[in-house]
Amino acid sequence: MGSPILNPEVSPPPNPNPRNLAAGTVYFRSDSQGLHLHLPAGMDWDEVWESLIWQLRSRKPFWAGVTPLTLWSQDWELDLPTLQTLSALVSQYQLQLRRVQTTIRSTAIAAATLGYSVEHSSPLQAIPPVPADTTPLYLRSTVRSGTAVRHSGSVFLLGDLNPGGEIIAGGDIWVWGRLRGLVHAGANGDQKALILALQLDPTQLRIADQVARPPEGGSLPNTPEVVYLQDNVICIASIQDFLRREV
Amino acid sequence: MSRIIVMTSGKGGVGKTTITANLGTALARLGRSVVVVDADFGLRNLDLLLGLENRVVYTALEVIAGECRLEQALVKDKRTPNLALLPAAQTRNKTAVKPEQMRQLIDKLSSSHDYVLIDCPAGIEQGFRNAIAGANEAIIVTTPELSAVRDADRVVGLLEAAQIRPARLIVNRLRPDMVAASQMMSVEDVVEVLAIPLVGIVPEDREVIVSTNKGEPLVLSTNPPLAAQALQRIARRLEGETVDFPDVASLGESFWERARRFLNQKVI
Repeated sequence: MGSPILNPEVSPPPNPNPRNLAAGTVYFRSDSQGLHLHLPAGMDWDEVWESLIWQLRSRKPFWAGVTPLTLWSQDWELDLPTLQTLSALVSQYQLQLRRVQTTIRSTAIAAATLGYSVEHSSPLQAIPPVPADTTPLYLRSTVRSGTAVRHSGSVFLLGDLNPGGEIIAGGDIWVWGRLRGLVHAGANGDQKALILALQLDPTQLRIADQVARPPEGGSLPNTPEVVYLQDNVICIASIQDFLRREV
Repeated sequence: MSRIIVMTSGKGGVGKTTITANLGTALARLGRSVVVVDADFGLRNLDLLLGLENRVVYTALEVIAGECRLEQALVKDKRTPNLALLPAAQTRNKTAVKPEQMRQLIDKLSSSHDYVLIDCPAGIEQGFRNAIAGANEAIIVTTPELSAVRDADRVVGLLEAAQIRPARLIVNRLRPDMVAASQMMSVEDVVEVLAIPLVGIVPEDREVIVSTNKGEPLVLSTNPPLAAQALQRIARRLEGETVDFPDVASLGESFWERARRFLNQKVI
């Protein structure tokens, strides 16, 4: 069975080392103490806020009932009203802000004033790397132009990925909708990573360190498709053909 | 409670200001008190389209600075008694105002008007932030072009993050003949990508350019052209009426073409 082979691009992106793909973004993870929210450096606050709201709205809650939240605010200077707004926002999603970590004195004071437990570390102290979360990420939303989803595990999207939007995942990417944007599966180098979509009409496809763009022209098949890597070449097959190939 | 609607698009030149001027006029003619706010500081146009340029004395900036009262800055339109304009400052740029100040200004306006329509500048930077600050609904204006739809999609995402709901869609400058020939995106294509409810389809119309140059909103004409009729239907939909969307093909035809089509249908 011959799978249609896409046009391989000349230059693959630099081979990424295993890393936390969500670092540098607004990032939630959970452990035995509850949920942790990490704020990235180097964005402006509007972007952080938008990303936070988008994630709260789109993520299928992976916490049950009222859950304590630790805010890792690093070197963000957060004043009293900002912390209050943030606490009010997360409480709509049953998250209760309890602990605030910061390297900034004024943030520590604001957090203490509001009665949160504060972990004030010196800015000189090396920030411990945020552990990568490789559990699957479930999203229910439209990923619109300008939105980037980054996750170290697999990503399952119920909704469309629009042109100009992107999903970068350490594992597989399943789009239960129309895939029209950019996807990068196995972004940490996993060559076995797959991309699945109900309707595949992407801007660009990447698996591990390979890049491909879809063939130009031609009509879209009306069937779900799978994208996979075979001998370092990105291939597309209908779901039926792909499953038969595995047999 | 009054409705505060921001008219936005991301991309420039898709017809935000024209639609704001006409929709404001149409709503005022339905008996509502309407204020249109030009939030495009530094590149103001709304006064021109309404033909009120030479009557601007104070602008939103002077109101915010406390140099005049809000009522002094509002320009009333003599042709449309229920309609007022709050002009933007032409001499300053978008960073002259902060979102919080805009929010307070819009708040005050909303207490005395049924509708506040905010004409948002192109782009997604500070000017956009200011324009959406006080809004509680949005109308996205786009043309059936890939670039305009892409930018509109980004804006819909930003409005979702700002928790401004609902966001409704106007597809502007549609050319039915080109859609029929598959040379232009159809309304369905646009709606499929943006996934927000459609509130109106405005066909491309030469009369729009004429009316812009005259400073007289199209909906005021005694014999409103197709684009003006489309805008009047949008006003009625905003008012909660259920108004059918006419067959897209009929938006581009003259009366005689339509009549001929009708007769053909009956005969054959």
